[in-house]
Amino acid sequence: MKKYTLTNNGKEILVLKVPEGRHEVSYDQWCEAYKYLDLAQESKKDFDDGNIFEATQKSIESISRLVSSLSTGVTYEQLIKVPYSKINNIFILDFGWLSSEMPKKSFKVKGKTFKIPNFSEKSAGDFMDVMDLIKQINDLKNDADLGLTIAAIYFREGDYKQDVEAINERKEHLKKYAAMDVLFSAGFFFSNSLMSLEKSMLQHLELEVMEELEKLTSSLSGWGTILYLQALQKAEY
Amino acid sequence: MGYYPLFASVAESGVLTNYMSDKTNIEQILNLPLSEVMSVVEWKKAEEV
Repeated sequence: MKKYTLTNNGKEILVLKVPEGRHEVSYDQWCEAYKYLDLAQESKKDFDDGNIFEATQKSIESISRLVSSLSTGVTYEQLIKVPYSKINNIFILDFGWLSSEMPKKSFKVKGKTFKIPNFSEKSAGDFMDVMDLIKQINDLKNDADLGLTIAAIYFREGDYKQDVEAINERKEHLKKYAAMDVLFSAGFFFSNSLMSLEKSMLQHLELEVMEELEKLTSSLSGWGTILYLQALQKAEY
Repeated sequence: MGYYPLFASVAESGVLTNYMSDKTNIEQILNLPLSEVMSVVEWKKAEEV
């Protein structure tokens, strides 16, 4: 975490710690930030339509919501009292990882190693469970929930035996102890695996698989890119 | 489960008994690697056509 002490006229007004990657962001923080995804998309639309004032208002709120949700030691209400140029600078300097961070293959979750598997070598039962549970997620754009589901299914030992209760227990464990890099990477590599399966052997299931693929888009990465471009535009003025 | 019928049909078809005589019920098939089961699904589909 990177610590910032914000001052105004030499007086300390706020101390916050900002994450340096998904490994320092929890599931709950990501879900909180995700609530404001629509605001960034609306801002982009306003900007494209030439409604610059509305676009600026929405992007300021969206960036401030994102910084306050993913950081520690600060609330949105505290942050919006800070001159916006300071928040904009923090976002430009320290949140580039939202759109550029690469997924990883190996993690430690509460002392236990979790490696992203070769999904095609794992059991057919695990695959069946993933595809079914993904369908049950109400908000299909939230990559935290998608990654959580995939990681919870493959974060197990021994032979496959369908056990939804055990999967739910592992979900709670991962929510508590795994950072977003685990969930992001699980979703990313599973999505890649689906694409590979679809190309090589699932021609008759193409429609169904492609529907699942569309749900595995990393929406907050897109959000980061939108906001980052807008923040840079403001910095140029 | 959406894929259960698909994998169950592999078990019921007895296709796997041709080369895996002990893999004939759905529980055993669900424990096989996905790539192996999908290969059989593809082969079975091709046979039907």
